[in-house]
Amino acid sequence: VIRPPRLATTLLRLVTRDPRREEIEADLLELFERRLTSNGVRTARRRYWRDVVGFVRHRALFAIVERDGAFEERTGVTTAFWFDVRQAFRSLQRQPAFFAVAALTLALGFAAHFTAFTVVDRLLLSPPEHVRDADRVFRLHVDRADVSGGRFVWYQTPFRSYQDLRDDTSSFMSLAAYRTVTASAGTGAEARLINITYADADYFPLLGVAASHGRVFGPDDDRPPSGSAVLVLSDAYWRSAFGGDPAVVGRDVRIGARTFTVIGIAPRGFAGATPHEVDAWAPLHAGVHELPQTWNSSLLFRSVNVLARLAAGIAPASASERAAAAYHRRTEGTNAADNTARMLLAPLAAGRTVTGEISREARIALWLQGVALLVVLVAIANVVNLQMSRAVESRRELAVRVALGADRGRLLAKLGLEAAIVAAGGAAFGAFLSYWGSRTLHQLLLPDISSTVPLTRIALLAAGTIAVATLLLMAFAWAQVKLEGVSDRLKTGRGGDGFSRSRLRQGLIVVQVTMSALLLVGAGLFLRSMVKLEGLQFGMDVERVLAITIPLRGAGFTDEASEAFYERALPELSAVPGIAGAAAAQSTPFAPSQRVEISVPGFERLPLERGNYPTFYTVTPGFFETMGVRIMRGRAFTEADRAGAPQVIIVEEALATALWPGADPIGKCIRLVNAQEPCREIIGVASNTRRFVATAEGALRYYVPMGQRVLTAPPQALLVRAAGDPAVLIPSVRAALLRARNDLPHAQIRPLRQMAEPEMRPWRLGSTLFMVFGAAALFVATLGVYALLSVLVTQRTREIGVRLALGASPGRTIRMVVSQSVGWIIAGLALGLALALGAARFVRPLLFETSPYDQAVYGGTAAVLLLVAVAAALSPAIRAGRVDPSVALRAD
Amino acid sequence: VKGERLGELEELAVLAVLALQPGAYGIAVQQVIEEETGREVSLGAVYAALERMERKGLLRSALGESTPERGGKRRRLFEATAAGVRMVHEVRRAREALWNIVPRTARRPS
Repeated sequence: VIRPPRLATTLLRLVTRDPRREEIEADLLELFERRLTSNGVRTARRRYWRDVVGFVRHRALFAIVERDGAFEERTGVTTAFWFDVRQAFRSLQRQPAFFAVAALTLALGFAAHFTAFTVVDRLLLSPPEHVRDADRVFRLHVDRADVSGGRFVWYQTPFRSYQDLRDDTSSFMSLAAYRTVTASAGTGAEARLINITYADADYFPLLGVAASHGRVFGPDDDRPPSGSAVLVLSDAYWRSAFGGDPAVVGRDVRIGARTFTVIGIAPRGFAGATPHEVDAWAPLHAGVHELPQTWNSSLLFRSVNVLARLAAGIAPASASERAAAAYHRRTEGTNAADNTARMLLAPLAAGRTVTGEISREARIALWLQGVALLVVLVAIANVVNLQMSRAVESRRELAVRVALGADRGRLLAKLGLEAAIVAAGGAAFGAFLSYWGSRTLHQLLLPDISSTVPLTRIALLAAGTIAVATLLLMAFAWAQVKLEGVSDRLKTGRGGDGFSRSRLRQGLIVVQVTMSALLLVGAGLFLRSMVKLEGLQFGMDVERVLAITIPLRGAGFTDEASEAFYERALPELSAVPGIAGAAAAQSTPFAPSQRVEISVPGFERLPLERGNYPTFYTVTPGFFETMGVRIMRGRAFTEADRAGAPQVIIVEEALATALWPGADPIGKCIRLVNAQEPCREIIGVASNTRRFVATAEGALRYYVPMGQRVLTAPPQALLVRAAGDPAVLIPSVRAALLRARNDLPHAQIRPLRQMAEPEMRPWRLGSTLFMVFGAAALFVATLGVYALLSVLVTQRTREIGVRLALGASPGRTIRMVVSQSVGWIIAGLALGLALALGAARFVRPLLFETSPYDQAVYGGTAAVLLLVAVAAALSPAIRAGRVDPSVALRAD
Repeated sequence: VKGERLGELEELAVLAVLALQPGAYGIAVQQVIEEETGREVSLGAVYAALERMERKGLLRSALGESTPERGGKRRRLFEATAAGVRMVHEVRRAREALWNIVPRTARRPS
């Protein structure tokens, strides 16, 4: 059965509360059915909509203005007021072009405003869903002194310290521990990668989350040594992998090396305490088979993340102080670093860093919110301008009403109503635009943060925005009535424009141009940042390489089994057609780097900057060729550099220069870990690589051959070089891996380029939004210049006619009009650029290797604005040139 | 006196109800008015007019039989009261009286 559009029916239900609603609905349904058979679905739907909208409009506008006064009696609202509402609608209806342009202009501004707000809201305001009293819940991190004298924030805590802390702080806060890992669900070709959180029994009670089906796990499920293998699925994972079937409770799911029984489904939208998506939860002890045996006794192995819920009445600052005191009592006398450790309580909001500061993304989002407000102001200025160019009729009407002694309050109400209708129209359309805008934006820029629509807050924001816009529009309209003076308006009749009024309008144009210039400079700076970022040289062929990571340990592989697998996988991968090289490494190139103490004969202290300690990277011999890292001097590793052979090392150029400027490092040696280790001979110098987008930190790197590695862990990543586009090789690479071993967990295979993406996101966010907003502001300002000039030319038709009659050439007339607009633009431009220069130093930290004083950006902004001004002025100017003197002089 | 004069749409609505007896309900009234006057009338206006007439005692309504179409919902059927019939007749008489005194030359639409 084809039903009428649901949305329309809902709208109808919202509007009509009267007892006859059902009959009216049935009438509409009957009409719909009739049209369905005679005109087809599309017409029937369209007409249904039309009927509903017509009905609603009638109810809203006319039915309430009952002539018999029943409405007035019932509500106490005077019919005069409703009469004014009707008048306001009618006067706007008479000028549909004005209404459309004004509403569209405001819509652009509001859309920018709302869109920016959804991002700010997600990053800073909205807590994770379903968490009870989320403002009392924090992530707990330990800020500890570092061996080099700096401080370092540890996100994770050793399980033993967590237990101590939990016992010692229970009087003022409750704690829960969890660790989130990526694991493979299923095996072989059906395997897929999920994020699983292993949490202790306090996790769900602390967050205040209960299951929507089945149950969550409790203390009985999390007993040492290995808990019970039970699983709670996230709603999203349940729907995508199990089709939302409630019978999945009780079913078995294999995760890594262990089989789990599903016991419950989490409520829809709950994705853990942090905004990053989690697919499933299991008891903490059920996941410890993946960890070293000492996981719960070692004070070095930081195995868990800690959540804290503060007791009522405890401030975060005092909680963190008391927690630190408890921590110091337990660690007293062990080491200096722990004695000065601080406890950080970081809010759960996504846009906060571990130390509770606002993250780079969130800072950019806040900037954008500010920028969006500028766009809104530009839009309002433009609507004010349009208001002034509206048909003289309405102004005359106002003047007449004032002259006849109309009540000022009533007049103000009329102006306010018109303004409110325009603002509400703009807001409605803007909300519609921003709905699509923010969805796209979210997918593009915050893909791993779960999205929510903050309906209440958006509604509040919209209401506030409409109110402010209405007040501003009303104030300007009132000022206009006052400014021109009643008698003047009555005397001048049609056509003329008072001096003060045109001054005000020119001022508005200048303001618009100023703001557009400001936004364009911002857009330009971010664009340049983006270009720099896209062209960033990593010193590796990021475009050609696929990185493969497989959670072997989680799937129960011993180190020996992993090692054996990698040895078999490398030749299998090299044999795949289209693959030009393969290597194994300790991690993917963009993973956090690792360091050990190093010493170099001849140096008491290494001549290195603080915070730039050299890091190691363990690779198989094929690495340099596969990654396109050049060996500048000496040689690369070979199969001969294995355990037992003389120990060797390759340093990056930057490290070589730092240690031995101007000298040949080949043949020198570096000692790793401690004095008992042999000094490793430097056999080669490799070209520099860049592994962090934002900073060059950690740039000093040396390579260790896999056969002579420092740590015992087997490789964690495979790298393959494609002859062409790496992405197309993913299926054949997966097949090759399964040939090496068919019971493999899910292998994550990604183009290396994509792995640099998360770090690039803040700049992408900034440049995309700044450009869109800048374009919107430019468009609105152009519209303003065009509209103002059009009106001026029309109003000056007589004057221009006189000039032409006195012998001025059309060309001269055109130049006169254009140069007038260029004058305003230059004024606005100068002001805008000056403001931009003043604000420049504040945006510096948001830019990537781009000066906030970039001359090309400022020059480009000036050129674009001038060009646009001339373009906008051209059509009215040409019209001025075509004025027929005889017609112009006869008029009026 | 208020409530004793008929608006144009109200007059048309009462006439349509009379014309459609015994099956006069919301959309039928709207259609007949649109067809006979060649003007678009919004459903909302028709409903409002019908309701107002009812309150003034010129029309009365009752729910009809359930029909298989329109989701099995019953129609609200309108009929004119004696006062309603009297009212439209009065209007008509007044109009005809006026027409009778309009000069012949002015009767043809230009």
